[in-house]
Amino acid sequence: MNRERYLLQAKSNENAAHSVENAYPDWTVTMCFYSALHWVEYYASQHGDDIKSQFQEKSPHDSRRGYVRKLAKKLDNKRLEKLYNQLEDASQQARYLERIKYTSAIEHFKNHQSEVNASFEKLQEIKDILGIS
Amino acid sequence: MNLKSNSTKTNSVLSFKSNEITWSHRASSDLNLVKPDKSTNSNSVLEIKRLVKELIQLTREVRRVRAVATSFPDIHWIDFQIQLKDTDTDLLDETWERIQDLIIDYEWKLIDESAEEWYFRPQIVDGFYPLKDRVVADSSEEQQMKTSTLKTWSCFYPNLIVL
Repeated sequence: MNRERYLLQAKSNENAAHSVENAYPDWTVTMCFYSALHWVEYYASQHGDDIKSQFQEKSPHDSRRGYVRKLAKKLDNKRLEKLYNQLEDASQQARYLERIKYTSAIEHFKNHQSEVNASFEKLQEIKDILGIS
Repeated sequence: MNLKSNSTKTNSVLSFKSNEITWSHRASSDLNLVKPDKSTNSNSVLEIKRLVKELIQLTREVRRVRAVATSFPDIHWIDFQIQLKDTDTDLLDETWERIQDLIIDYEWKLIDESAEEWYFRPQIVDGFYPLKDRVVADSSEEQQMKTSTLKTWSCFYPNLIVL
């Protein structure tokens, strides 16, 4: 169950992202990142990697980003590192209004549907790279 | 006054030496750049500085780039803070992709060459906060030093222009 909980949470977050896409596109973007995060956790547990112990002095988010970087290098896939960073970046934009001026995050993403669509595409690409679609 | 010419830069202090006088002028900068020491691979710091230079030259849309060690004194975790000239306009997707690719290319190259783990992250920022002892490289450093040099010399010798 320990491993499966990541799988369930990843799928649940992605489903939730779809369910609020029209009403709350800002949260859709955030949920896509949190789905990717749990897919990474699931991949790590599948392969016997303990992310926390690999980066003991780092925050959980830094640890996962560090793990993704190491994994991308191991898989020789720069795209993985870039996609994960982009999703995390977008979720910070949605939650903290980083680089969003003069409007709310919800308005921003309602007016930038392509960025919302891109979040789903990036999530799918991460899953494809990890081979756990 | 016969001013012969040695102007050198040491530890953020500009020293001017002549036959008659020697004085120093602290650069008017908020920078406190990380200096390589025995525990730091100076080649790695040079690579990071080279990357900062390449980033600033990559597109005219970038005003300043600063490499910040987020786990200082460990400098293996670096945020590349990128400030745009026009903070109201987003970078073109293509440009942003090129910036990210360049940073990852340097990151992986450094991993291979140093046999150490490096973690680089690009960030678009609206502005810069003062930091102590955490800045590894700053694209504005060179420009600030030039400006400071010019101001200092001009202050004492109004007709003297340093190029």
